[in-house]
Amino acid sequence: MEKYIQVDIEKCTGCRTCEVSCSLKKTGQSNPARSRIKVIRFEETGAYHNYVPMVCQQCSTPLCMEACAVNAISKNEETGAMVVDEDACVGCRVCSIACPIGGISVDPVTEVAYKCDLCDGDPECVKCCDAEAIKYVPKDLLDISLKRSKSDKVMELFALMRQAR
Amino acid sequence: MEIILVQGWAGKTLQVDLSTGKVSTAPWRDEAKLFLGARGGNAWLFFKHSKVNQDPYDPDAPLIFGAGALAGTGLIGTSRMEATAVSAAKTEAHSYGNVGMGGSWAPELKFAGYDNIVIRGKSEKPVYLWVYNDEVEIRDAGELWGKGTFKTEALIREELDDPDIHVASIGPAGENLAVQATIEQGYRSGTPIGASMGGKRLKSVAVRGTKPVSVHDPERILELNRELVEQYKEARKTTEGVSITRNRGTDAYLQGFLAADAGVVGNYESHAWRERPEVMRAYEENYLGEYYEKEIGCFGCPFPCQPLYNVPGVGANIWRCYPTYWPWKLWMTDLKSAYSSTRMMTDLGMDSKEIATSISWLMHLYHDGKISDEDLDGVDFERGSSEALFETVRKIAYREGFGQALADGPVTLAKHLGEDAMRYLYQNQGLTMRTFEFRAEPGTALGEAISARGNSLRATTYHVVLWDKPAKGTYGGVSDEDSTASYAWSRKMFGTDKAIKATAYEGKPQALIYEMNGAAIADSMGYCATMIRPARTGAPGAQLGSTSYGFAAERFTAATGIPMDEAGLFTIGERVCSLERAIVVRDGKSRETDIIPEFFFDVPIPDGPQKGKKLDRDKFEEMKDEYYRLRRWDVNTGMPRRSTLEGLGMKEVADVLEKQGRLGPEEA
Repeated sequence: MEKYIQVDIEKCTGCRTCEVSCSLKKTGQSNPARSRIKVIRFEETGAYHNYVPMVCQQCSTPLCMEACAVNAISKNEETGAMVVDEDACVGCRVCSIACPIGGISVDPVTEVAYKCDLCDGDPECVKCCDAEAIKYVPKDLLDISLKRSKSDKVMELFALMRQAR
Repeated sequence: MEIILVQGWAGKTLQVDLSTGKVSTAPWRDEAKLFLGARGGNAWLFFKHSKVNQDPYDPDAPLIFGAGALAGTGLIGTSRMEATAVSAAKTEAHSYGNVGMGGSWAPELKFAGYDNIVIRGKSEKPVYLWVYNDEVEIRDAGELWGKGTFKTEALIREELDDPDIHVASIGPAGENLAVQATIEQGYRSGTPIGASMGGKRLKSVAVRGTKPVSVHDPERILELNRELVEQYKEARKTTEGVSITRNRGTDAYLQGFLAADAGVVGNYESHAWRERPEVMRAYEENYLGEYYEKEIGCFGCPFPCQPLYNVPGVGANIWRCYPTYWPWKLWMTDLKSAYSSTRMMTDLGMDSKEIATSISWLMHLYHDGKISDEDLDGVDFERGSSEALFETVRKIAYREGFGQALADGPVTLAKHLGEDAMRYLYQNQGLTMRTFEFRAEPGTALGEAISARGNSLRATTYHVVLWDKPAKGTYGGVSDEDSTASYAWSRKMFGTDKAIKATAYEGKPQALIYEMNGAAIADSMGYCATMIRPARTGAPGAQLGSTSYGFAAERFTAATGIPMDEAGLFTIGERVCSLERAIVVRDGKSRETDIIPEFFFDVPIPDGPQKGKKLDRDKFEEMKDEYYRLRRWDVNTGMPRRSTLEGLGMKEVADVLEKQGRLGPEEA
């Protein structure tokens, strides 16, 4: 069964442990600048703090794959991840132009495209996300998983309503 | 240039001269192994770059920023930085100022390729330092000068067009050279050394890096991180104490504090917390609960422990352990004012501990009729007055009215106010006392007296002590089972049950050294103390992470490739503590000034669970003897000996002390 990384932005605390885990696993060094997942900050100290983990969502219609002129991107049928053939990639960056969510880019060191490949079905980033802002969820359970997560808010609302009565 | 390969460290110190605008780098390797980084590394650089008894505003005086040895390695809990300078509240007994903070600044500095920044000189006009990998720039801060720390950070991010920049700044208090001024960084601050930036006309240090931190064994680091996350998840199922790192860290802390029976009300005027219904009510009502937003944490730590509140019309701020108990020093139950003023102090860049303690002192004087309205510019200084709080904060930051003198330290204001004011002021080394009840906790009293830096959490037995009458149940008290385990641990570690008995003298020097060395290890590695300092078994927080410093040693090896064990780390802790001691001894501290105010020996605790206790002079001096002996310093003078310093690999330090005539004589 294909599984995907489900992002729940309300739970993200902005700690960037996912970036650290990704870079340690993929580059052997601690280097958030080369992480495949990035936490985007919407914050102003003293005012608000919101964080959005951004990572390839392995699209049903992968525009990066369609845009690639050298056919360097293909789908791993086992995991469902779009993966880059580093030998074929020429680093033209067209994939990054095509991607609607910034899920693929060119690595500053290797100079070929890099993106989340779901670590061959065992993604490192989700393992240390204690807040569960990112989770690795089976394709057919993505829907219920997110609904369950968001239902906390509804339950809070119910509790408030009960209190008010 | 020689290429220096290091794992864990960046291997480079950035050197900036604000007078000439010159920027250079220096390699950092062999000393790094001795002192690690952050607190220890900074102490070494301070020793090398500072002069004997240097004036805090001497343009040549060094201001040093440092990242922990493990910061940026990806190990969970290694986010800490340190800033070090000559203390603005300089006295003969107190020349050294340092502060440690978490957040994201230290890892970002490592990603930019530096372990430390040594800043010297003084700029003619306000500037800020911009460090982006190899590009280092001293930029104009004319527009930023006078702004609060929140706005400053936002403007710098906007000007440089990058929201991922991390900024350490001073606010107006630091610009105006108030001794209470802090360096602020993402809500983090601490012991006040902000005036050292103000003196150099340096508004901020902004960092951004995109380089790697090389590590020895990345797979092992990932494995250790995964284990820790699993451990926390498991512990959360069963242990209440773990809630410290999740959900309202504040409440968990204040429960521990109540359990300790050591809360101070007013200027050491009362301790009867539980007998004061208004105090208990304010706590139990979870006073700010409706404004709680979420926890935010440090870089690379999935266990955030900074509760963020956002009060409409006031703004967002962190409200953590310390703010939960300082309002009682002001007899305040209006905790929304306490919150607002804390946020104001974060923005103006000042230390809530210093301010609150100074206000409690003035309130005490006012209450006893020793000073009048005129002495304090007509501000209402009745107990619990929020006007006193807001006005004192503002007057210090902008040096208005009585704030002009108070900004030079409480001693300066006391001199203006007369003899009574001096008598009511309990201060150490020019700074006010941290709110510990020293009369009931001799180990912490000893730490306060001996500390290289006044009012320091780095020199207390707070983490190991067990109180005589722990409040069981309701306020996070310790169970019988935990007590038994704790005493067994105490016997094993320090040879006596009493070492961890808060009110006992026996074994306290041993326990204090264990605590101080442990703090030095954490602060130098850049490790979060909550994560790696094993408190006594059963204490709130003890079950998080480690049960021994082997936890830290193992992780240090994974990151650096350098073999390390618990004993090796303790040698490093001992070295850092002895170096800091050598620095302050060089500048004038000695056994004579290893003291705390007479008050704590003379006046017994008036009420509450510890009623009647006061410090015993002879026993206190005996603790000092034992402490110096254990440190292998000269007992008569409290000065380190050459053999001790050389044994720790610091011959150079011994040479300087000898030249100054500040070396302890060898044992006969």
